[in-house]
Order: sequence, then structure tokens, then C-alpha cells
Amino acid sequence: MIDLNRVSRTYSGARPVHALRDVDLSIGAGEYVAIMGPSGSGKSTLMNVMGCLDRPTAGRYLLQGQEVSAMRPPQLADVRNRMVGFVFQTFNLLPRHTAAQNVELPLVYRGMPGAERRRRVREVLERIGLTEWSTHRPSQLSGGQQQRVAIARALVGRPSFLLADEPTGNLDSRSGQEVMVLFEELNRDGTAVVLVTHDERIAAHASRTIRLFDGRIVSDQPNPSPLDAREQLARFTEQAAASGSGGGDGS
Amino acid sequence: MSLIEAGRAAIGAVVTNKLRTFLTALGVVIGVAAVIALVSVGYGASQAIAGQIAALGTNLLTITPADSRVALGLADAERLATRVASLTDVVPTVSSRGTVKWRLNSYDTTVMGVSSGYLALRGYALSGGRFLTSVDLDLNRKVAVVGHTVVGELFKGQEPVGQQVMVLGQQFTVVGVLDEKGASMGMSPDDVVLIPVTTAQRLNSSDRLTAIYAQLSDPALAAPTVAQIQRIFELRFGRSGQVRVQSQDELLETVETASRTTTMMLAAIAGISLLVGGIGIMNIMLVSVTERTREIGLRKAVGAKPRDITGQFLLEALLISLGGGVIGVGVGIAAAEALGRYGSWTTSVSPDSVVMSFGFAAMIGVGFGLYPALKAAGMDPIAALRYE
Ligand SMILES: Nc1ncnc2c1ncn2[C@@H]1O[C@H](COP(=O)(O)OP(=O)(O)OP(=O)(O)O)[C@@H](O)[C@H]1O
Ligand SMILES: [Mg+2]
Repeated sequence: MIDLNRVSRTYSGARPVHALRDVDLSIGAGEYVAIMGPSGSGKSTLMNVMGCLDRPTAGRYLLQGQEVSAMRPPQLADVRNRMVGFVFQTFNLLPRHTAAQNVELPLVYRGMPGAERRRRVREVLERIGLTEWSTHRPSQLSGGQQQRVAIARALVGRPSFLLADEPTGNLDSRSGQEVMVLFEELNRDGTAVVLVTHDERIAAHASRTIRLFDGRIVSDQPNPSPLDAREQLARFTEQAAASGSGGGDGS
Repeated sequence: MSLIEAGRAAIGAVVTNKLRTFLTALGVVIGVAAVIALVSVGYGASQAIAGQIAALGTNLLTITPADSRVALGLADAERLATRVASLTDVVPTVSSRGTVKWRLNSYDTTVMGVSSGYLALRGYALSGGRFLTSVDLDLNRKVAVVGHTVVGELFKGQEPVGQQVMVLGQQFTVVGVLDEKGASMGMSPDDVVLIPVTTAQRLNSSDRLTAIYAQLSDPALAAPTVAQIQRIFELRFGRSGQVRVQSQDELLETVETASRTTTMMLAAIAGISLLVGGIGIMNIMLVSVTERTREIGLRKAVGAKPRDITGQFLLEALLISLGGGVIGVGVGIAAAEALGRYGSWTTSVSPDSVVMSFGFAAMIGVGFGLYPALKAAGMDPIAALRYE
């Protein structure tokens, strides 16, 4: 599904930065991939290229057989809208829109009729467990809730793969774990999930781990026994109950 | 993205920053209102003058000397009356400003020496007494017919007919009173004292006429008649161009051209303020695009096409300028009303100026909104999302 062929991304400048060098990578439908690597190794750059937010400066990127590097901006927008769901570390919700309006946005740009849009948004919010927060604005939501709204927005268009760049980076470990449960469910339903993380325990949920260093892939290994996110979450809940501080984020 | 969605988004963005939107729109409001109000002054003036000229009658010819060296006399009026078949009436006139006195009252007015045909020619009616007759002219009688304004100013409600008045230092007997013709701006047809033209010539100790008025039997004959009159005077003076012959149509056209020029100038001046309003819109849209860089990046990341972004910002600019335009039309019409009522102007709101200024406001919205909108649409999504 995703096919990178000797892809490079160089930031031109006084001292050119080679953020990606000759990357060859294939990710198939329904895979669950974690991307790791030290800061500055090119993880975000790779995600942006795969999500069609950025273009490689060299090499070929085939997305479901289509050559992305040859696409014009409107066509690129269409691919971002239909094939990719992108989740950002900083959520990137529109502050003046409600949760439901934020989730609705990709469908608006798809030109979907209002009634169908609202039905899809309701479905997704229900699935994510945010129905009662749908009329709240981002500033009225916790970090974990905001990230779930952002995931709902990535999902609502039913993309064939979900790209998440450090989705748990700004969350406490319990909220992060809840996000991981969501990803696991999505993956079980057939959506390919690619996530960037610095946290080995988060990466352990994926069935494949790719490590980057200095713009190159230095290792690409399958994980035969990925962690079960639901079990992990249950363990958190137990610990919380044991320590007597029943604090959650009220989902 | 559908137009309804885009419109809803634009309205949302515009109402979020109410004060800023209002101040930005204010530039357009003032511009549109200024165009409408100023043009209404020019348009009102030209309509008033046109109305006056039309009131004179459309088949009136005015013959005046081209310059002060040319002297027209009674014989010239006589000649026209006998030789030009298409003229039904020819009236020689001598006019001057002068003081009329009655008892202790005095009043400055226009004293016109005319012949008996003047009453019908100008469409006056008498409210009392009689008009000047050919006998009055033949005998150089010192008789006068006074206009409605003069009656009020000089006689203060007393019956004027039969009174002795001093006109230009000579004693005259009032024989008639003109009915009110309705004053409008400029020279009032009611503010006049009429005396026999021969008497006026004697008072001036000069045979010169100020003008000869002639009535056409048919307005369609204006052009050939003017040509014939010019020929007669060419023969008389041995040179062409010694007299000016103007039909009412021509006069109307001259006045209209002059007032159109004035109106256009007023519109241009007001248009400049509209332009300044447009620059204000552009300025605010550029600020708005910069402020919302992250929003633009996000919208692009979830699939907004360049034209969706262009449309969004263009629509916001258009909303501000059209909103300002609507309010401006209201303020402009109100201002025109107020100028007409409390100022010394005759105003008339020209529908053209409303349509034009509103259209101009819309054009400004698009014109000045386009650059910021294109700038937003051309942003790189990643750079925009990283923008702090
Ligand atoms: N817009 C840019 N202009 C110039 N250089 C850039 C730009 N964006 C990223 N880089 C450089 O490219 C390299 C890779 O950056 P990237 O953001 O992909 O790293 P990363 O692996 O995501 O790091 P982190 O874990 O800190 O997020 C870095 O050296 C960075 O400085
Ligand atoms: Mg990164």
C-alpha cells in the first residue's frame, strides 16, 4: 500500500539538512508499525512524506499504486482527505469549533451532504466515547479528550491508514494508554496504523518496529508478541484503585 | 466544499472578531455613503436646473450678442418676426438689476424691459390688473407689472395695482401683478419687475437689447430655424458668429454636461475613500491570514484544496465589504435626505450611484481580498502547522 523507493528529503539552506536518505520502505494494508529513533533522525519527515503533507526531494512514493510526487495540489488534497488520517502530537484542533465540528471538517472538504456528515460524526464520536463532549470546544476538554477528538477527525473519513506522530507525547500515561486501546481496535478492524514514539512500551503494541538514525532506516523488525493495550489499561486501573487515588479523565 | 458551508464558515470567522470586522467595514461604509451622498447633491442640482429650463418651455430660442461689441436693437427683433416663418412670437428684452421703492420700502430686483408677448412666451399668468400692451410700448409709458416676490417684499400685502413706485429713479405706475410661478434655485421667475422695453431703453439711454426671446411653432424646427437666424445676422453684420442662438435643448445639454462633470468629480473624490476602505480590508485580511496560519495548515492537512482556502478568505473579505456596502447605502441615503432637508442643497439619490458604489464595494472586496486569499491558499501545510 505504501511504497517508498529510495526516497530522500533534503531541506535546502545554508547547510542543507538530509532529513531522509534513500529510504526504502513498504507498509502493507492492515499493518501496525511503530517508528522509533533519536530526535532529529527524520521520523516526522518520514510521516509527513507518507501522509502527503510533504514531498520527497528525490525517489518515488507510490500510494496504492499512485505516484504521489507527480500529483498537483488539488489531487494531493484529495489523497490527504480520503486515504490518510493524520494524528498530530499537538492535536491541532480548531479552537473556535466544537468537537463535533472539528471531527466533521474532512467530510466538509469531501463535499459530503450535511445529514450524512452528521451521522458519520455521531458514529465516530460514539465509538471514541466522546458523545457527551461533542458540543464542547477544545479548550473545555482534557488533553486526552482532545487527542481522541483528533483521532476521531482522522477516522471519520474512513482512511485506509492512520499516521500518528507521537500521539501520546503530550498525554499522561493513562490517557496515552486509552489512545493505544483505540489504535488497537482500529487496527483489528483493518486500518493500517503507523505511529512514531520515543517510548518502548508504546512501540511494544505494534507488530513491527522500524528504527531510524540520521535519516536512514537502521533496523526493521517484526514483533511476534505485541502487547495487548486493553490489558495494559486494565492494569493501570488496578494500580490506581490499589493506590486509592481514583483519578481518571472521566471518559 | 459547498457554498453554504463556506458561507457559514466565513460568517463564523467574521463575527468572531466583531469590533475588528466593524472597524474594517467602516471604511467601506464611509466610502459608499460618501459616494451616494455627494452624488445626490450633484444629481439634485442638475435635476433642479433641468426642471427650471424645462419650465421655460422647450420651444424657446434665446438670441444674445456674442460679445459686448455687438449691439442688437428693436429692429433686429422686428426683422426676425417678419422674416422667420417658424417663429410665432419674438420678444426683445433689456434687463438689469435695480432698486424699486414704494413709500419707505425699497427692494433690489431684476428690472426687465419686455414687449407684450412676454407673458405668453414665459407662461406667466396675471393675478391682478393687466399686462403691458403695445400702446404702452409705443408711448414709452412708465408702467410696471410686478412679480409675486416683489409684491411680498415691497408692498407687504398691500394691493399693488395703481400704486406709484420708483423704478431706477423714475416714477412708475403698477398696472398688473404676476401670479406665482414657483421659485426654484437660481434666478426666480417671480423676483422681477416688468416694464415696456422702449421705456427701459430710454432709462438706460441705450438702444441695446440684452436678449431676444423667440417662440418656435414646433420644437422639431429648432435646427433649421437657428440656421436661418444665424444667416439673417450674418447678412446684417457682414460676419458670422456675431450672435449666439440657443435652443432650450442645447441649454439643457450644456447644463447637464457641466453638472455631470461636477457629479463625476464628487464621485471620484468619494471613490478614493472607498479605495482606502478596500486597502483597510486587505490589511486586515493579511493580518487574519497570518494569525490563522495554523488553522490554514490544519485545513490543508485534512484535505482542503487551494480553492477551498481561497474561497474561504475571499468570502470573508466579500462579507465585510458587502456588509459595509449595505450599511453604507443606508447611511448614504439618510445623509442625502439630511443634506436636502437641513442643508442648502437640493439632493436626489441617483439609483446609478447606489448600484455603482455597491458594485464597487463588492469589487473592492474581491480585489483586495484576493491577494491575502491566494497567499493563504499557497501555504505549505507543514510549514503552516509549525508556525508559532
Ligand atoms: N523545515 C525544516 N527546515 C530545515 N530543516 C528541517 C526542517 N524540518 C526538519 N528539519 C531537520 O530535519 C531533520 C529531521 O527532522 P524531523 O522533524 O523529521 O526529526 P524527528 O525524528 O521527528 O525528531 P523529533 O523526535 O525531535 O520529533 C532534523 O535535523 C531537523 O532539524
Ligand atoms: Mg518529530
